[in-house]
Amino acid sequence: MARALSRTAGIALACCTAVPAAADCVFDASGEITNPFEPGCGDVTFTYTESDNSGTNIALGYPPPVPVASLTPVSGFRDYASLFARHQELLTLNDEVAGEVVGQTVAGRDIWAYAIGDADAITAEGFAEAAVLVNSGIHAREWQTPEAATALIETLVAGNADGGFFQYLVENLNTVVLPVNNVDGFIQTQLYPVNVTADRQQPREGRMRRKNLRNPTTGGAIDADIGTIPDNFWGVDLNRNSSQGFGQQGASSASVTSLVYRGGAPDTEPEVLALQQAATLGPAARLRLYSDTHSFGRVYFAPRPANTRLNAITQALAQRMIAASGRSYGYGPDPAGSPGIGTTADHFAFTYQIPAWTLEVEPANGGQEYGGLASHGHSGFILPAAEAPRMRDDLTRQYLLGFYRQSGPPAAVAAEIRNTASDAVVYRARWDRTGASARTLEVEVNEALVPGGNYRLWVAFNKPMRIRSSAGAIVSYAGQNRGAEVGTLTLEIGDAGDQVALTGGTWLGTAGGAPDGFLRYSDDAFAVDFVVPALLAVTAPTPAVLSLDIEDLAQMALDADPSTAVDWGSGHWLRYEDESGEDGDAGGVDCSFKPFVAPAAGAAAPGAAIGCSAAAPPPPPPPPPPPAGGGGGGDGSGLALLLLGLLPLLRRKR
Amino acid sequence: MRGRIARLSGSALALALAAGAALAAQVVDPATARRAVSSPVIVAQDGELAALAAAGRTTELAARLERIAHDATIPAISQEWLLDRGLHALASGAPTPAARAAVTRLAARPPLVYARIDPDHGDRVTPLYDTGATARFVLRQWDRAAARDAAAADLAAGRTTAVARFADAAAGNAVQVGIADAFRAAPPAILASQRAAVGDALVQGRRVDALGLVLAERLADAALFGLVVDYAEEPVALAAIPAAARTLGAGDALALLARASRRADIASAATLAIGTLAPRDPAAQRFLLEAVALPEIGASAAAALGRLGEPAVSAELARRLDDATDDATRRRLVLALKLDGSPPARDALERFAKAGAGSAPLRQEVRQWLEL
Repeated sequence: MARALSRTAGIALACCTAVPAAADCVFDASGEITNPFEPGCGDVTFTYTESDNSGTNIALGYPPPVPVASLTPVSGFRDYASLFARHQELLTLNDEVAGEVVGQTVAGRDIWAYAIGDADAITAEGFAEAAVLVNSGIHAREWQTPEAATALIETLVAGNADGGFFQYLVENLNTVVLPVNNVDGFIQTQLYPVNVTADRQQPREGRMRRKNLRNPTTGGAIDADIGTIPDNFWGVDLNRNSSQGFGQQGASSASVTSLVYRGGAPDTEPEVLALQQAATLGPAARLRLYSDTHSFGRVYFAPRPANTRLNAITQALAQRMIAASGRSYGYGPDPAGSPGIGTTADHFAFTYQIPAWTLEVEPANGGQEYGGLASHGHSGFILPAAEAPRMRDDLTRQYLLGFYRQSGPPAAVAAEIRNTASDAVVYRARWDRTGASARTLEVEVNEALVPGGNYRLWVAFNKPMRIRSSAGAIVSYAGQNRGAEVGTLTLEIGDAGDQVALTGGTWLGTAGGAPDGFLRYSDDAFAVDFVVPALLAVTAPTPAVLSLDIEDLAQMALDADPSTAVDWGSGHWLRYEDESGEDGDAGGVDCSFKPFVAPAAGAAAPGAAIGCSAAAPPPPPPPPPPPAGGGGGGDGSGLALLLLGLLPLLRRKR
Repeated sequence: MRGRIARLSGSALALALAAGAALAAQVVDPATARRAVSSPVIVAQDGELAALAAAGRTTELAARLERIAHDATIPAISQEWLLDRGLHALASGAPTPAARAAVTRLAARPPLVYARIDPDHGDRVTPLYDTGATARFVLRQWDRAAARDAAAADLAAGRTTAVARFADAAAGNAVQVGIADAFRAAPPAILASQRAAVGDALVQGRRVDALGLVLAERLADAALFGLVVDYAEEPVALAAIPAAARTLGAGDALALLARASRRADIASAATLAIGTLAPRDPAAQRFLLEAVALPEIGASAAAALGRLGEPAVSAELARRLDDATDDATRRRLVLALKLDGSPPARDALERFAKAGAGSAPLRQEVRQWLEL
């Protein structure tokens, strides 16, 4: 009885002496608090708790995370000092990481950006490297994002000598990461990890600070004391301060107390300028991807410049990255014609014509996805500590796939055919870089394949095409569907349309080059054994062509014309041809390696070459039927003559 | 606020987000939500719910909430607010079978009221309230309280059966949390009687991590802290680090943290925690200085030393950099001196940048650092 009474009394205390369910903040029709400095609004402090919802407590349903002092990742969120020390550790201990102070915050703290890549600015082949840029921590309360960005750097560094996927990214791409953009705001949220002010529907300051620390009256920084009421609503929303779309579409505010106060003018905030400076580490002209990491929502919000190809590429890229996640993400492009609203993604999409977005990481709706509570819609900003490791891994998987795709499409760069009985090389060719964007095919050996002969084909590419599990087996990258299978390989012989399907090829995970090893990176080459049919009817040296219909692990098709190296410009791929030679964004079938078949070894190569059937133009449409009734020519001879006249167009393209 | 805030309080917006919802969901702005919960009728209903809760009339309260949930005359936002308030009040009390059944039914209710929470979300909306989640929370809280009360009774009677129940429960579920609550609330003398059972369970690999930590901290038991560090899963082992630092005496704390620094997943946290002892404990300083040479914790030791701001430490780091012979240790000493930033540290880095051994990129990086 005593316990029941005490519990009852506890309930009475909890419920009936509570302040009103909401503090006395007043909202206007736009959702803005109109009385931030009045008693009962700005001076009310709430506390996030695990389960106590009484009074000014707000229950989350799980323990509110507090910052952890650890350089290495933990089940939780590292404090800023630890994150910074970790970044500096990765910088100082690894030559693959370069770092620079790209600006200072309003309060004068350094903002660092880091570039992960090898010392040169060229790919393994010698072409100019591309660059990607990831920003995080722009909104102070979004604790997931500095952790996600740090995990990205950690993963690239940890794998930089793996001989495959990670080493390829480090040596062929420059990855620039700005892990904590709004340093002042982030530190503020960590100073008060469980406290907020103002209103449950729109908690401000402390753990829920969104903006930077700009004092609009002095231009300097506001103080760090949550008890200083007047400045708790101040600051500039760094994701509304960019010039592209500044002040547009009613998505920001000119009121200094607004959550989305855009600042007095565009590009005024040092944190925004620091991000723009970070782009120069790419360098900016080589950027092919920008991602601004936020929480929450599980969605990619993409600006939509007036560039159809760019928008299509952005969507396709995002969808591949989304597929790599273990959670379902949405894709939310801006309406067509939207100039943006002053976000950093707007700046990079419009200025550099590259895929760019605001990437809202998990959760989708809030803490209830992890067994917690909605907590007036704001628990999504407070990811449970236990979810941090999985979230980091999930984001890293998405990002790395995107980097791999934007590093450039695959191209076949070398081939060799070897007689397996004699071990003699009968065909050897490679595409050598001969210019800033050019390759030239060097054919070193071109001897006849003979009917009945057993051969081994080896083909190498300019990037690793597959990845392996820790046990060494080829596996599909998360969410992608390119596994151990090589693709569709065909040896097409002569004009008669003879084809030999090459099946059973295997990707090569050991070094050594042709015939059994990879060229530069694990699984950048495959080998397949085949037989030229003994009954193949060749009476003279007959041209042949290898048709390679292969996609890389991110489901990008080959650059079908390796003579022109792919690059990026004006919002789309350049020189990314399909098998017909058409420049586009999809690539196609490589038909660049052209051995020949002869009745016997030692025959001279034929003078002519052939192209792939895949490159042949489509047949013309059939002629329209003759008009009904009357007219002459009823015996069909005119139609036959027409078809005969069309026959030359049906031959394969030479 | 991407685009104008839609004032849709009066219109029902069917949202695919509320899968299977028979009722149409609504998007509300804060002003509308505030008005909806401020009307005299709703305030009066809230008062009635509070009165039922205060009187311990759990069955009636739960039944009242179910009627509210199906009362089409109450606006959705008011409904959801009342349900949220009432359910939280229920969580503090003891359930009755009827109340549990009612709350279980409410646990299936999808969110009905949404708001634009994050201004970057455009037109995407987030549940402002989630009655189903709150109901599930209430069920867990009841289970937690029941487990707490049962464990408290076991503790009071000197029984160790709560330890076994904890080990057998699913990790992190309400039963485990409730039993841990009871342990936290028990006086040290009673906890001491549980020490052997908890220690044995830890060594046997039974999952009593949280109990081990509670006992270790409440009893200031260095040996038990050691078992937690050795056997507990990472989240609890990590929590043991600050607990040990604030609970144990200097010598015991250093020994425990040094032990923790040999466990990979918490080694960095343990090493940084040793750094908090270093200002008062020369042994902690010596540990960190020697640890710089260790690949597993060298960087963390460097970070801890860099934060000390002690001239003698800075000088020692500088001396060691001058004498360093292996690249990895050299790099960690550079890290420590960078994070230190004092004049002696900068002097040492300048000497290194000019004529130190090590890779050209490292010296270049140090020169850039010095220019900041």
